[in-house]
Amino acid sequence: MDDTTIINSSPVSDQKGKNSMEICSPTKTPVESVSKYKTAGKHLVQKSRETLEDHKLNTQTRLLYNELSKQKNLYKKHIDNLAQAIKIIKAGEKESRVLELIEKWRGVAQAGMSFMLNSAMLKITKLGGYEELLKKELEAERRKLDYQINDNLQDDMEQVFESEEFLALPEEMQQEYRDQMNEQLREVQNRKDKEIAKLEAKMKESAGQEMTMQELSRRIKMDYMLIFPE
Amino acid sequence: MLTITDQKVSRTKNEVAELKYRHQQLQEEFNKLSAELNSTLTPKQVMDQHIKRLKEYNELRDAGLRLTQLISDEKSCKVKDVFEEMGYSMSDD
Repeated sequence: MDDTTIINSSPVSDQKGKNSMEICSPTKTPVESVSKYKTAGKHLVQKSRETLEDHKLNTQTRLLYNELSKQKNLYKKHIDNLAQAIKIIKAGEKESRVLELIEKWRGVAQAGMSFMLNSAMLKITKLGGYEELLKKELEAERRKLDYQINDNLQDDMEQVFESEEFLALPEEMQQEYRDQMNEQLREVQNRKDKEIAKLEAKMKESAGQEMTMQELSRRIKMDYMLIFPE
Repeated sequence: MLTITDQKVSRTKNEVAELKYRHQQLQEEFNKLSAELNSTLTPKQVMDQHIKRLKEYNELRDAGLRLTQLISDEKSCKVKDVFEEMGYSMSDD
């Protein structure tokens, strides 16, 4: 509290009015006080100007430093590339050796693929031909799809329909669930039909054809283009 | 914000100058070697080509070994015998 507070509302103290005395000392005139503030203000402005200039200078230095760092990194990258490229060129014999080895292993892989194709064709002939093989594969795939899709879903449905929770539901809700699950079953059946149609189309395409190197590569998961580049 | 000293900037300038000089030297050496080999590839292309070849070698080697393994299983013989039959050596020495 100071002297501007309501009269007699400030706590009684021996130091009453001391604060105001400090701010506005009776030994100094008001003009002197103002002049003191002006001087302090000037100092403050000067100081903030200096800070601003320092800040500007710092920013410029930082920008210059960042640019130099970028250049440094770029040169380092180029130097690294050049040094490695020179090393590769200088070790020319090593590079030729890599090319020789590529040819060697391509030869091994091609010979291996030829052997595998002959072997596969012999087995296919024993089975009754390529078309017969595809038919058998189609049948196997059909059985697999039947087992995977229909059986699983139908088992699930039966379990749900026989459960106590389901039987406890009102008749309307039971019918709603039945409809939903039948819809799911129809979707699954459609999907299965599509898969089988795809397989049948593939079989028709292969009619009268023989196993090719590309087909064999696909079946034994070999990269045909790597072994037989065009 | 950290303050960057003039000393630090000056040191980086020197580093850049040194790197520039080293880069020039290497570029000249690379140009000379390329001219000798009649190559028009850039350093990056030389590196990429080298890596591509190594990758191709590795993949073909894997394929070759896998196929010889399949053949040896089928013929019930050693992989080494399959290589001999094909007329290749198993090792790359």
